[in-house]
Amino acid sequence: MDSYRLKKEYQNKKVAVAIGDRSFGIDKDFHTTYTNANAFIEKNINILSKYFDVVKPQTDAKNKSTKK
Amino acid sequence: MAGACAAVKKAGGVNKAIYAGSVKDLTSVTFADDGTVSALTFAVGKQLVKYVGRSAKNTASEPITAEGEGNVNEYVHTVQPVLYHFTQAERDAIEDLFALDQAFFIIPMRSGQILVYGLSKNVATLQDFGLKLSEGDDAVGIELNDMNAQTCTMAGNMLHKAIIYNEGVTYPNNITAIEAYLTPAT
Repeated sequence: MDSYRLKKEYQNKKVAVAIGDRSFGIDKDFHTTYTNANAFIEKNINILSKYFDVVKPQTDAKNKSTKK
Repeated sequence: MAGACAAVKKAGGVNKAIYAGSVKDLTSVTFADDGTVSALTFAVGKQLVKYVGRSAKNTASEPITAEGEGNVNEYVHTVQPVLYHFTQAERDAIEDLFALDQAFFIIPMRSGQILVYGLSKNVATLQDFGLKLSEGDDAVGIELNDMNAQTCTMAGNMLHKAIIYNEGVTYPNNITAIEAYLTPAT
């Protein structure tokens, strides 16, 4: 599963996002407020991609190159 | 607790043009770190609607029902626009407004402040609040000076005062930003 990080332009804001018949707060504390935050974002990525960047995992090749 | 005297010697009253929308048509509301509304996002095909009346006709208020035996202070967001109409399309637009059970209003004031009535500032309860029609009339009298307009009261119990809209920071930029929402979202 991908990890997600709040975009810089929303770091000092709070967004009420309506998903279905509920609304959710998106802010810098999102990952601590919601357990399974990344799974939630991934499930609703079509709506939430506006607010989050995907955090790419470091490749193995890069890790190996640092371990000589 | 802090106070300021910035409100002293500012003009009172509501402008003749106000904007209305449905909370159900919003997909997100962005709040700046000072708590003001800084952006709205509408679902595809949805938009704000502008009602242009006359100066010194529209009113808005937020009477408070104090906590009493309950747990919270209630702020009754109340908007009383006077909706002038002549065409069938204008009459239909009034019916569309009255059909909403979770309306919100963006109301520019003569002071330069722009207030949002009917939107929750609690991000988890955006879809649990809004204003709805409580009464109205469109009486036709006998005097030549009788107005051809629908009066109405849109009201809803909220947990806070109306929120300041400040997407563009300055009044002209805020109005420009609001007017952009008059086009259906794509």
